Amino acid sequence: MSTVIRRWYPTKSVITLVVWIWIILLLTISLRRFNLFGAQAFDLGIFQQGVWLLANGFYPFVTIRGWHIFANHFSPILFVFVPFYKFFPHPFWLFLGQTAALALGVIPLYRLALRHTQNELTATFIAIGYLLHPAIMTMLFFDFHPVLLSIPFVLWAIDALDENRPSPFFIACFLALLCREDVAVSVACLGLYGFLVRRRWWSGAMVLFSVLWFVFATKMMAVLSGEEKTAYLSLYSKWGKTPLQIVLGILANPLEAIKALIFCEGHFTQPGAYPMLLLAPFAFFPLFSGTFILFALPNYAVLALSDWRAMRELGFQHAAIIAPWLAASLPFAFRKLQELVDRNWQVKWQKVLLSTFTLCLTVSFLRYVPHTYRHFHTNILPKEQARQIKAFLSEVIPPDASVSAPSQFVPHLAHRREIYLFPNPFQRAGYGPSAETLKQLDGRLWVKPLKVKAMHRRMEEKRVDYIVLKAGRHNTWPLKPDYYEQTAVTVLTCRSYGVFAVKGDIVVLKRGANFDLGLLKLGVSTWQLISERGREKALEKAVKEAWERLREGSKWEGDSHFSMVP
Amino acid sequence: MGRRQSLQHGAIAVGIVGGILVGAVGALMRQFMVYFVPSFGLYSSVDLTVHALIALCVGFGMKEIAGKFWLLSGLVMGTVAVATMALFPISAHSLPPFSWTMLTVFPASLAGMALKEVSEEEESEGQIG
Repeated sequence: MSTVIRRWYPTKSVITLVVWIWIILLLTISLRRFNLFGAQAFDLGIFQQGVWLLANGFYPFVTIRGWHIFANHFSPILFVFVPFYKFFPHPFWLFLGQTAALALGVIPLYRLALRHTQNELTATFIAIGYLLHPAIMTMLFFDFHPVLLSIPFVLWAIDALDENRPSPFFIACFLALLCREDVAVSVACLGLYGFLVRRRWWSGAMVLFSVLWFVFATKMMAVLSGEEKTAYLSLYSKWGKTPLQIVLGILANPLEAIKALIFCEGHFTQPGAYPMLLLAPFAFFPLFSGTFILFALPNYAVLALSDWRAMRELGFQHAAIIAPWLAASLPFAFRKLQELVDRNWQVKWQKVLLSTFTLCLTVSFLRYVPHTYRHFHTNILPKEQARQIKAFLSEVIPPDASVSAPSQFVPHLAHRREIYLFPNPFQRAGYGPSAETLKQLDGRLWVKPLKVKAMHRRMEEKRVDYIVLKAGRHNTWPLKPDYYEQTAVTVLTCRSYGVFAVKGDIVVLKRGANFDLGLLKLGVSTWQLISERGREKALEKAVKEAWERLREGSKWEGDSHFSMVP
Repeated sequence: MGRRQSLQHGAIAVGIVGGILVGAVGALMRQFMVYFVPSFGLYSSVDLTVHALIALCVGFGMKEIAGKFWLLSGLVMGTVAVATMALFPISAHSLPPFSWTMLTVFPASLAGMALKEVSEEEESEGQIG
């Protein structure tokens, strides 16, 4: 059997070429999105700051998220990036890591496919299909997520289990567990599949180990966040409070659970569309893989039964839990389908199977991938403008200063000890370890702007060196556009900060800078307002007008110099 | 008995895969044809005719693999083709709306297999004659 895999087929060269093109293309897309300010504080900024803190020997409390890096998700695999970050701190390493990891999943999948189908062409189609599945490929459009690193390990573990090789199985499972706490579900299912279906007694040990690991990881997350239990369990509060209660709650309400599994919906995804988005690109073949796909169900349930609607959208990292199962089900499905038809018709049947698979993949790719690409690139800036902003921010803000900035600027300022997502730390929004925070992340709960006096008081108390604001109604999360603008005007009228520099529609405030001189840069003369009655109200009105001018009339072309208040 | 059962399973597999193939080709046609033929909307008469023709061709082409259980295979293919038309997402967020008119595709796959059966019979009769 192993000689079949070891032989060098011409198709292996094709796969190698496709993998290289795929890596280069997706790495370019990720880097371009980052360079053009399309990447966000959540989640690239979080992992950038976390890895940077680890690399520099600081306590890894991620101020963007208000959590210890391993309280957010238990992903010790992030230590892999530390030496690279010491050498050159840039998200390039994170993008390279996850893109290469996803691409390397092709190797165990190809081995598995070749072993089961005994047909190099089918194995090649399966391997390439894995790379082009919309739910798998589009995960790379959205920032960086360590859970993606688990995909090749789970595939490797499936391959090792299939080939009856305990040592690689255990190593792969352990590495997968290091990627995120909920990968334990995947590993436990795999162990159970090996034990019950493939009669590999040693894989049963992995069930026990992954359960223990999950308990340990969630406990660690709770301890590091200073809470009784991790907030992520609240996503399944409909079914129970603890992991055991959740499992029992699902089993006790089978009809409700089945309904939720089939008709789950996302932010935009209609009820029932998500499972089809997973299955249709693979021509619904995973359904024919027999018992194997049954063991994938708990992984799918993690996505479908959660309150977090983003879990059921293409382009988000959550599909990483189900992706290796979907891909690995293909070799089993192809073998089963091949066996059903008479030997005399095998050649024609193979062609039908491959044509169906290729057509479904092509249609799905054309229908879903460009749309998802556009969705994650809506906020990117023109190249020249992005270059100018990058130069502006690096010149105005010292590398060790603490900063509060809107989401799209955070990744470019993330390599420091204190970087906050505006309006944090003055007003909590999407910050800290609570169930409310998770609701804010999913857009189910929005914080309202603080009253002017309360906000000013907090700005006096919380010592942040710089605040970056961008006039505009796009990309204002965690605040609604109206609330963001209202908060920005409140911030501009606080005397603890002064406008330090303005470029285009970007305003940088510095703590302790001259307030009156700073507002002059926005065309607001506080001296003229002294004579007016209700001075504070008049100031607010003038700043609001200045903000609107900034939003409407900012010019970037040819605006190569920025103005700074001395 | 065992052989007969495996042949039946084979015919069902042919029907399922054939039905998915019909749905996939139809979806690909929808993807491109809409640029050239504006009336190629979901469940328009053009759309349904194209789908029915595809089902006819696929049924005709796959009858050989289905063997003597072509009727079973055709019925399964028709059902799966209709199901695929209804369940293949039309965008990254939505499924196509349900319409009873898609049932018109159902008999087409059966007709494709039946046509092939008739042509095979004529061929064999011609050889005997």
